[in-house]
Amino acid sequence: MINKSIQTLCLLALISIFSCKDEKVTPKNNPVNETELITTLQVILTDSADGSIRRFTFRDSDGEGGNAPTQFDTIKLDNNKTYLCELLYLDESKAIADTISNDIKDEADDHLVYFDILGTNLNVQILDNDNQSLPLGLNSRWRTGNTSTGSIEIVLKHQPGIKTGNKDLGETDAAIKFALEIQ
Amino acid sequence: MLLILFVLGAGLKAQSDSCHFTIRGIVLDSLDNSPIEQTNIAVVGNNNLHTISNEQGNFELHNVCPGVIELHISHLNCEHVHLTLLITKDTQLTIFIHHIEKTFSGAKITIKKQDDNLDKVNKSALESNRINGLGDVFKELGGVNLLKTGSSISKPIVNGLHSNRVIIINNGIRQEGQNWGMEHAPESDPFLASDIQLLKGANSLRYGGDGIGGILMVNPPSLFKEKSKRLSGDINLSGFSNGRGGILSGILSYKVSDKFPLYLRMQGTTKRSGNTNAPDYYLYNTGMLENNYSLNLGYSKNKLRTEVFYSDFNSQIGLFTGSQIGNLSDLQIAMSSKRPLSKDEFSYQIDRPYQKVRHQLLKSKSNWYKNALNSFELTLSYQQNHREEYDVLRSSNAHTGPAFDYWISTSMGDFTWNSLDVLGFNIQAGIQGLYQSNAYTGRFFIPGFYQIGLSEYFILEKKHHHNEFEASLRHDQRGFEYYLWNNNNLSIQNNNYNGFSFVLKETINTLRLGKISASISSTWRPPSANELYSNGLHQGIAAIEIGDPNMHQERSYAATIEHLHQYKRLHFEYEFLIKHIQGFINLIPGNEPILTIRGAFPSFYYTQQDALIYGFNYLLKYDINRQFKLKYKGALLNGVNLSKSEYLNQMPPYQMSLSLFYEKGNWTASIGGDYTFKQWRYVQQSDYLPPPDAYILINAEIKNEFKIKQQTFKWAIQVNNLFNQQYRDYLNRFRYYADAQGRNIAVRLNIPITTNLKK
Repeated sequence: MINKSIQTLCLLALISIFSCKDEKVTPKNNPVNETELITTLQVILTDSADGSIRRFTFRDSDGEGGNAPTQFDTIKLDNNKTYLCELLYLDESKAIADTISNDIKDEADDHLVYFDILGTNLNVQILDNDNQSLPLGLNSRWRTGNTSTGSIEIVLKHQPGIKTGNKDLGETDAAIKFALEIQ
Repeated sequence: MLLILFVLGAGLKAQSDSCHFTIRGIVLDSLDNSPIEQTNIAVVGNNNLHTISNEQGNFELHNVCPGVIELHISHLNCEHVHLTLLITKDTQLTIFIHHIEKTFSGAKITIKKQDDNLDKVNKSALESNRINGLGDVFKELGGVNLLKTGSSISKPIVNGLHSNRVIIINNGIRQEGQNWGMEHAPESDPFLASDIQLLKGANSLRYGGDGIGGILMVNPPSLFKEKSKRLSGDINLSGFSNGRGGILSGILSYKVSDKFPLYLRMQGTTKRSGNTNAPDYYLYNTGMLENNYSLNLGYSKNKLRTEVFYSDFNSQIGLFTGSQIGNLSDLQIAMSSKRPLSKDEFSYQIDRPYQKVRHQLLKSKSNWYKNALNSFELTLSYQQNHREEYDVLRSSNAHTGPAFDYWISTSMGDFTWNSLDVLGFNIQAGIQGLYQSNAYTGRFFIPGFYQIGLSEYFILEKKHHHNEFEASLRHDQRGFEYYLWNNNNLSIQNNNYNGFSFVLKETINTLRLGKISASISSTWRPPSANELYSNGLHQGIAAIEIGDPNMHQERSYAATIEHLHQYKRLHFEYEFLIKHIQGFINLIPGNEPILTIRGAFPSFYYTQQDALIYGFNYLLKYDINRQFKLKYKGALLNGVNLSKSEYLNQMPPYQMSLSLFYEKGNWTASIGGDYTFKQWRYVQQSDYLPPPDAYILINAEIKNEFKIKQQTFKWAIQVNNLFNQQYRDYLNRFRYYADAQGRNIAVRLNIPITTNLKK
């Protein structure tokens, strides 16, 4: 008698657990990212002489992998001019685009942007600093030389707690190599 | 298990009436003379004459007819033994059951219970390896290596195959987690395990038809061995230097009374450690913590045995900060720097990136022994695995939860019929059902899905003189419903698979030749979610992995030859294995790099090819004299991609180890070296770095036992990597970034708790 009742109890216990399944386990979630993603970089260049603005964009709305980037401009500048550059990092995978540049500014001590220039007569000088007086890189001054073509790679590094100005430290959050033409 | 019978027949009282004789007896464990209950004893050919030994090991068979009778003796799932007796009077029998691993079912080969072999981990190896986690215990098995992610995450590679190709049976239930992931270790407490095996026979198909690599079994000690009115258990305390960690684990069992045979068990483990260190530096953020407990309740009376088991496993494991790379140039920088660029200091803090896993299992298992020859088993289980992965945050005001988390829950049911002596065969037949759902939130890696499975299996065994024949056949049907999102559009994909698996094995066991077996088998598995649908960056290894939704199932055909023998003081065993895998799913480098916002990444595509894996595993043990013993072990494995006529990457390099043991009284000391060759069998230019150099690791251990008030206390000091050897392991995914763990000194203490409770 006892063994039967115990067996019944055990089975009942199991059945109740089988039946009250957690709602969370339904495979329902679409890959709308609650997490952070950088999808877009806009390089906004203001001619220091006449104030005219040029905008060059890289955009890969679904992040790494998946579909290929939808926009990847070639940066075209005039020779022997000075431009003020502002970098705008965006997350456009969300319904309302998120301005990542604001987060970078808020945590300037943990971030570093640097520029790798290949084959062109371009000089870039970083204008903004973090709280430790180390360069940040969201704002810079670009001076073009004579006509040439090459590339400029714009790299955003995340260096939480380890920033010293060394660009080799930390993890790369974004690295985009734009083709560059100085006309 | 093997039954070795010593029959002591003694005439008690002659009786003239036919069919009024009585056979009385006792069943004892040959090792410690303790009584063994639940042994079936039956007279063959007479369905009314059968009984089961009680808790004192006693049994009685009444109304036995005179003449030659055949007794059939079996204990639980052990094989059956026939005993022919001439009955002319009441008879008294003493039956000794020898608990020996079935693979050693040599009639003349007697092997001590604690001995290890290629298929089984012995107790002392379990005790010294479990402080590093369950994965490290598996590597004691022949042909098993570890796929590591740093020093705290390791999963078994069985003869070159891992993840979805290896089934882990944890406490009788197939472990279901995110098995596909290379950095997903098995979620099970090694302090609950007492018996760890690699299944090779026909009965392995009972647990799954998709174990192309192998089936690993992890069992806790039997609950039903407890004696009544006695609390028994022990406490294990361990401390280790590398990571400055400690483990506290305890287990306590109790049987209420013989009249009310209710069994209870509680068990728990807590583990904590900080940053581990390589010989020259700390590996920052490699701390971990683990908290597990389990409860077990059982009831066994007459023909029924039933139990309920619940376990809860929780771990949080830091991932080495120096392994965090954003793109290829970060990887180049990490690989070219002599020391990791991460902080070089000790801390218990677990920062991002880390992974947090909770695995819960609830199961009930009931056995009903209908009669001596027939029994039924019903197993129901529910398990839930919740894995959260926390990446480094770009800013603290970003999303604070995990980058992604997975919920996988699995319900399984199994009904098995066991029958002994059907036309001389032992038969096991069963049906299994599975229902699984897998959901995720956060970053996409694999899609959510439902899975339904239905399986039937049939296992035959026959033993005749020196021959033993085993065969099994299994059929699986698996249906998947995948939920695929593309640009916020949902599409549902249904994939159905079905197929057969089989094992045929013949064993010859003689005094002269030892034990020789040959087997052939075929198993298959459906492609897994990541192989079909992954399409994204695998951050740790800087590669974009792309699945192929049109992949079909993978099938293996395997043949093995095993030989085991004992010549006086020399014990040896070896196995040859060859496996042909059709449609082997493999990651193959693509031609074009893929452009992302982090730069260009190399692409890898899941493709199917034909592969051949062949290997040789061996173990030699030699008793030099009473005190000194030698053990020599090795595994040599090769893998070839037949479709492309090149080597398979990520195959374990050749390995061998030699150990010397010294035993005197209650003391044991051992020293051993493990040598790992350089792997040169790989596709050149397919990896960022060539495989690391060969290395040798020296390990040593001293153990002692002593008694206080009849209780046996045990302690040990062990040193792994005694000479603080600097090395990198080919199968460690962090080999690009840092050296492997340096010297580790550990101290262990085992405190028994056995109290007889007065009435």
